[in-house]
Amino acid sequence: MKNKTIARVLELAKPHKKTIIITSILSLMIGIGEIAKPYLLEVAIDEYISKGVFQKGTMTVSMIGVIYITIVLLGNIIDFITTTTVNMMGEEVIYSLRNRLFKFSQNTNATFHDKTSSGKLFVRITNDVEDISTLFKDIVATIMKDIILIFAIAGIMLYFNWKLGLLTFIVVPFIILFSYTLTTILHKQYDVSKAIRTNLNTFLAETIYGAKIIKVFNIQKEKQTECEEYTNGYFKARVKTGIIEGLLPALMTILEKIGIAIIVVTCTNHLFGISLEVGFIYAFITYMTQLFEPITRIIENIETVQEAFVSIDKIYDILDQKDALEDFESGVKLKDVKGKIEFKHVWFSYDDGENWILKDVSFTINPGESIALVGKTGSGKTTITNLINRFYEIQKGEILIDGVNIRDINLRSLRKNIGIILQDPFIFAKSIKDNIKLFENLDDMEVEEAIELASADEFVNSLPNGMEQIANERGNSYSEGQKQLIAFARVFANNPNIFVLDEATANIDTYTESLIQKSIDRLSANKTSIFIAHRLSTIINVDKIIVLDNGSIVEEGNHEALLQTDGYYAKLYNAYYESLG
Amino acid sequence: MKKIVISILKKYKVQFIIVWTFIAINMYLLTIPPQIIGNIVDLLYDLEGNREFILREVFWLVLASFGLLVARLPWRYTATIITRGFEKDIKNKLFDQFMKIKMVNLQNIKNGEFMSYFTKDIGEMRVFLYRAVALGSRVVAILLIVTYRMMSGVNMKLTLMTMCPIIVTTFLVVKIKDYVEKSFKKSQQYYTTMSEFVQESTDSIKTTKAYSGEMSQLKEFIKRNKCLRQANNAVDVHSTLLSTCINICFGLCYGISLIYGSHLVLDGTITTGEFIAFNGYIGLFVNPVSWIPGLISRFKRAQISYHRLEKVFVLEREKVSTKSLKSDRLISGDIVIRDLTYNYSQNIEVALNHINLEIKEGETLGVIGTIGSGKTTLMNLLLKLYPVPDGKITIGGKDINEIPLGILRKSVCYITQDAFLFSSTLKDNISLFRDDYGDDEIIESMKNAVIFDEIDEMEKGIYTQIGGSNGVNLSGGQKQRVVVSRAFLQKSNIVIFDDTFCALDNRTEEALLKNIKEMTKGKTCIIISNRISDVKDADKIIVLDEGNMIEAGNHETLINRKGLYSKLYFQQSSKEEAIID
Repeated sequence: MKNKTIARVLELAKPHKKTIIITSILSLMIGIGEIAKPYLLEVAIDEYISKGVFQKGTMTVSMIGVIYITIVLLGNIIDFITTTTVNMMGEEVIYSLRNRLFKFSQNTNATFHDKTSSGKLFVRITNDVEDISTLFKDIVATIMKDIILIFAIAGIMLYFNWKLGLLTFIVVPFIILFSYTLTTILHKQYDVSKAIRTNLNTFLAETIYGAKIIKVFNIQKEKQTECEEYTNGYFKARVKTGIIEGLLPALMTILEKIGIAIIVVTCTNHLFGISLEVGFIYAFITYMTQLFEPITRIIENIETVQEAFVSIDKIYDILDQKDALEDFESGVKLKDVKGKIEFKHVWFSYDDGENWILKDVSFTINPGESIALVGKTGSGKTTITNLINRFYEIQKGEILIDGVNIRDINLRSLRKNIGIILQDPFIFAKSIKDNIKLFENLDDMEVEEAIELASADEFVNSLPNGMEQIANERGNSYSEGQKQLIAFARVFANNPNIFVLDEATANIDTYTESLIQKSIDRLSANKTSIFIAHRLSTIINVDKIIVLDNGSIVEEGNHEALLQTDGYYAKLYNAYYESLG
Repeated sequence: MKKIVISILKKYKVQFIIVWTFIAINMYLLTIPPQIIGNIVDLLYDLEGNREFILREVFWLVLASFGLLVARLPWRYTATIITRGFEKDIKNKLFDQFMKIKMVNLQNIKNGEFMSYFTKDIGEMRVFLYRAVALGSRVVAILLIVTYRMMSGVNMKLTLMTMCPIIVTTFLVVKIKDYVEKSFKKSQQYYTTMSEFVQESTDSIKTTKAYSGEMSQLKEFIKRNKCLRQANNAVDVHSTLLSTCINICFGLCYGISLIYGSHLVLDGTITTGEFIAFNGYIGLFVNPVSWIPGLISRFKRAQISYHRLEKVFVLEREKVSTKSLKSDRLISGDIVIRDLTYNYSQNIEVALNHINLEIKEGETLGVIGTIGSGKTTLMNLLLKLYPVPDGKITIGGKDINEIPLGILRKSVCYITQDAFLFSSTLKDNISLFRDDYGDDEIIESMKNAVIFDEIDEMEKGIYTQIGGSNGVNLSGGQKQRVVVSRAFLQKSNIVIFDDTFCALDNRTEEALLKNIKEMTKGKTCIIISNRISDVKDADKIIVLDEGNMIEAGNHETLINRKGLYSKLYFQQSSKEEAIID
């Protein structure tokens, strides 16, 4: 356990200082109640029963019983309040931590997301945070209460008779030793059987997936044998755990009885000059047995606490990357964007200058113009589009929109003015309507209009619920072309002045293709447009082609001009024609 | 299903007897310590005179606890054997059923659904069985033995009085447990929706950023997170209430016993020792009462799972003999299809519409068609993965329904389009776990599939592990060729390649097609593809479109027909459609 981790736990606990203090005090009261109960029994036995009297002073033996019941009721009510308060605190901690993590994941820059896989982020926000909830609930609600209880019991034993108390404590190290060793062995055995179970389940999942192959090739028998090997291995591992699980309570019972033996033998033989009344002996026996449960429970919980600490560190490893956060507050807001884009001696690298992706790139796109970026994979085409909306920060040079350096523009305002269609548009598991509105407040009319402009009306109307149709996870039920159409509708709905399209390389059927082409024409007619172009039809129609090679602009001009120059573009174009034979 | 469960349980007849015998012994031993402690207390009143007796009682006390250990391990061990053995056996049975279920039934069950039969449903049944065997019988044993001891050993009236709160609480607790279960289910649902949202938003981060949707996403997340917190709080409150109820109940029992019991002692009806023994007996009730609600709710859950599993077990099986078929004679490769129409159950659209087709042994058939044209359906029927009406398909002169399934599938080698590989060695993936083939045969088949050189470069060659956590990941093209190797190894009379070359580059594909031609000399070969180049050399080519066979002939005649085939041909070799980089 590192100091840093503890500091992190304390940071999470800090807003709940009051709750923790109050519940600690309440736990102490519960502890006192617990030790009062055997004491009341002692009084009843020694002061009344043994002496054969119903009443002593004003107190009757029945009144002691009533006090006993009152303590039980009060203690349990307090316990209920404490436990639920602590649980709610635990929920509050993970609730705000989850929000914090999610907010962080949303506000971090593209570099952070390139480094951190979405799967990793997912686990941090879901499972790892869950681990922390057990930490807060268990540590505060159970462990703290248990520790207080242990000290209260030990204290009262020493108070009643310190010699006998110390003598009884002999069993404590054994409780710790046995439960610790067995819990450790048990956890190891759990890990073993968990690993076997994972293998079994992987096997099953795979076999279910491959059901057809198994039938086609008639290998049912082979697979059955394999399955039985796995289930048998799991069975054996589980039987082992079963034995170990059974051992611990039995050992604890033995220890408990040995403890009782120590107390009884000491008292009957007046060892160390100890001589107690019957009720006291019985109370001592009760106290001693009360020690077992909290001690074993704490030891069993050590593992969960350790796991939670690991999770906390994993979460903070993410949260500590504060320089990955994007700044959405500062900067001027764009108004009436004309759409002039200028790149001035732009140098860019993903790894701070080790490998330059763009080297001294300069070009200008005038308002309303369309350009195509052409070049091999890795030439820097996509990078350029990622720089315009500041997914990444450039190292040298400047990028201007309408003459303003994009670094000085408010990030939200900048991105709202640029409509991007990615190669594989992301479709959310929401209605088509919400997928088009995305994060804007638009009415149905506007959405319908966007659908029409994107030539997606035919496709949307063919869906059983039209634009109210809920898409499958990631839009799985739609073809690449249909996803593209939705993405186009998105851009029409948002109506930005700059339009960027990363053309899909996937096969799209000819009909959808023609619809997409219509959208492209419509969009680029009055907007500054940048295409990462793959299709010749797109390239031929733009105002200007920028040919990139290895991060530098090698040629610039329209199709005819570039063919006449007989340079890189012409070579690319001709080589491609030759490849077709 | 009932038969299966009973037959499995019957296997463990002896174990059941052992478990119940030892549980009875165990429970009896559990009731000894309170009695002994009571005796000791009585003896303590005349300490000097009874010293020897006290020591003897102490000796018995410790001995009883060792006895508990000895009696506990056998029943724990056997109970684990029964429950885990049951789990193993039913898993194997379910697997066996899964392997043999007809494809028609299989396609209506999602893969994830089947997985949950194996994990969740069998798990539920196991948990209930364990509770019934271990806890249920202990509840019964304890209740019987302890009540008997309380009544006969102490006092009837006292017993009845203390029983009241226990009975009331048991009903109350069962009711509360219901709420706990319900709120737990709800919280799980909220957890799922929260997780799904996180999954989607971490995957879609680029789109969100491009459209500046960070704030909206966060708002949406907080909404879901809040619901989850509320649901979790409800679970906490309900389950705390459950334990509070039990604690108060037993507090009341002790209180009643203190008030009424002390009077009985003072009356001289019972001794102090009996009074103390009685308190000990009450303690033995705590566990059973807290077990009962769990038993009931687990029974309900197991019942649901039982019915879910029952549905799978009644599904009809294929009649496949899993004997080794190496010695069986294969059927020859003449295929005749007459007026074959097929639609999948619950589908309105026809998958295949009046198909007529004749293929002679030694011929190669090419099948062209888009997704959903019925290509794969036709092949599925040739392997009788789905039921085929009589008189529609004859293979080797015999109606397909007269050919034993095992022989049919041995004679027809169908390489499916999904290029599915098992997480195992390459060798296993090609021999499909059968030991009938030597390494040289496998290497030969890989050479023919133009994959061996790449595999040979790997450290472990054909023993290279594929997939899984530490296995090698093959590229799409490599996977396809590994799968194709199976065809070279199997030496069937009819070989089908279902779109298995699409990830290969031209040169590799050419070499592979040449080898296939060589291998299928004198055999029937069917090649399904989207690419004209794969099928143009075939003896016969058919074009499928939405289940209809719209064209048939060879390459030349089909080009001249100027139908879909020739359109596809010109499209695929046309220039505008291709991709420049």
